[in-house]
Amino acid sequence: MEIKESSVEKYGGIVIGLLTLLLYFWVIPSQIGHVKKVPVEPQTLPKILAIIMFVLSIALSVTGHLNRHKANQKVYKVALSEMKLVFFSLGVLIVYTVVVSHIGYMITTVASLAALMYAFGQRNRIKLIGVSVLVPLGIMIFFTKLMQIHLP
Amino acid sequence: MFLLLLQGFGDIVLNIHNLIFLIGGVALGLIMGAIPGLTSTMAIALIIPLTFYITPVQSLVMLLGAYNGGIFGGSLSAILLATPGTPASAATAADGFKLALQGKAGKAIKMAITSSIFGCLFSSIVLIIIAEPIARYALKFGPGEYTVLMIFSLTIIASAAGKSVIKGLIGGILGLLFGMVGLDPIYSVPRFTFGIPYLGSGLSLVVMLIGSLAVSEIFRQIESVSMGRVSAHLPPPTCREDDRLSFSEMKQSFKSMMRSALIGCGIGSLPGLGPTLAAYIGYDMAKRNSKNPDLFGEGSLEGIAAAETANNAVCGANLIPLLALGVPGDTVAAILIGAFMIQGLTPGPLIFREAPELVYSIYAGLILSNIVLFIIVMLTHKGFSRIARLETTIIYPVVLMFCIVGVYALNQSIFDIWIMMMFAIIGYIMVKFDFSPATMMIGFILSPIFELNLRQALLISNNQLSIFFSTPITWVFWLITLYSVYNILNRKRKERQREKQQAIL
Repeated sequence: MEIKESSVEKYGGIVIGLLTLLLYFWVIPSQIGHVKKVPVEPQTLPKILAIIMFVLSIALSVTGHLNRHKANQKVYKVALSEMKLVFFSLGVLIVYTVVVSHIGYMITTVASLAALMYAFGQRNRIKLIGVSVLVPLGIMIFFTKLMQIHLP
Repeated sequence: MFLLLLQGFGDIVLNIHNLIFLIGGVALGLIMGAIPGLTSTMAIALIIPLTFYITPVQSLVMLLGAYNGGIFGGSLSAILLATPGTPASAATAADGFKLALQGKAGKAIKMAITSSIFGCLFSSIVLIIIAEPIARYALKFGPGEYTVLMIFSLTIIASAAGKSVIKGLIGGILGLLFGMVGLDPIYSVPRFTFGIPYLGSGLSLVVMLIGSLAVSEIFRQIESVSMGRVSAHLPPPTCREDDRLSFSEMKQSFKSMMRSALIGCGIGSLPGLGPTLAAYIGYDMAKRNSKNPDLFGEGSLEGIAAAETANNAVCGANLIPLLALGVPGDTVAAILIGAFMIQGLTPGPLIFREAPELVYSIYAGLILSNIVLFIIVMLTHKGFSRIARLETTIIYPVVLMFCIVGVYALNQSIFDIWIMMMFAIIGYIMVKFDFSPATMMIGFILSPIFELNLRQALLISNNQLSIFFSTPITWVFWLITLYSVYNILNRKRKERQREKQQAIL
């Protein structure tokens, strides 16, 4: 899917504007308590920033609308085929975070590193095994022996 | 002053641990700057978790070393691969790579390193001379003056914004809001904590930094790997004569170097302008005043000298507003403020009273990092073409793992990794659609300083906004702020016009 710069600005502005309304009317009142009879309440500055953000979101949206027919616009590509490695990496990081405290740093890191390198296109077995074992080992020695930090 | 500086040099040179951290910082910055796609900002983001466990001197000299090394590393990949490692080294790429294609990569690198060091040393001397007097004057400032000064600092958001100032400002406001997570600084009321006790102390700068600047950047680079855009151009091997930089070649470029050093100092001491602008102005001025302007862009040593001196002169000059006023000059300087805060220090006029030894150790570290950089580059520059061509299939996964372990090491907390991933996703979406995560980081770092001064000023004045216009110095800051905004917007307009012209051509 290809999205023109002006469309990103126009619809991005609308999305940011809606999120800002949510921030102003729901998040700030529910997340920040009142302190009465003080010159500046804890809510004041976040509310001012939300108002500025809302004005900026409208400005962004209007800019996008005005530029909709502009020639030579930048086109953003949002394609699953291009982003699959990003999703895969994020998936590996999420799995890593979930399992590292259960099965330990070394096994998790070696497996994650090997999986990422393979997914990125590394097919040389010596590099694949060498890097995915030596780097976590080096990191472990550095953190546990030199910095005295416990790894899971 | 001289004795303190001497003591600063002694602290680093005579303490093997400090020296190791300095050399390590320079080497890491150099390597990361030389690899296309990795930046000095990323090097600093990766180093910051380590700074929790070392002394303030070790931490700051390591970060300054990485900053210097990273900026020059960008020039190495510009010369060897025609791929500027940092935007500031883009002006070097044209002449440097042309020389490399002529078999003169060694000569180009030697000119680049000599002029870089000249620029940084020049600005370091200016920093040492003028920062303390400015800081002494700044001690007279109250919360009103400081608030206006912080508003002035926020103008660097517009500069770091990329093409769209609106998008940059949105990123900056987002950062200011993230900076408010935690307890209210005056009344200790929880804000945006969503009932999670961990968020009571606020979001960690390092976690946010690694997520939004390092991991998100890796994600962006991964996309280009899958699209096969990463490629390396090999320069031909250099012959022995072409590898040398003669005294006469240095002499021919000296005027341009002096001019660029002054330009870099001027630009670096003003927030929001940055090394890229300095490099281009230095390069342009050198071309206009050169005896051989036709050589510029075709392999001119003078061109490399002018651009490199100017962009590196910004490094030292950037520390003038940072140390004297607590105002960051650019994204890296804003991150350095965070590094100071991790050590329990707030950069600004008081630091000259509270920790003068540290300030002079920073000066010494800045100067020594250049000497270390020079030695490392002269010894290893032939191997850098190999480092610059390291396989991305190895580099990116390794950096990702470093990010995770670095974040975990901060508090030995898995929750930190989740927060990092959240900011990686936010940063990735921002980068994908040309919102700058750097503006979010600048807003985040300045948020507590700005809010505290603003609220103190309003408390003192009983909510009267006139406190921000009450003294001549506040008026001066307002005028400088307006001038800075005008300057940045004008530069953006010119950049857009230049792009339009290039598109027509």
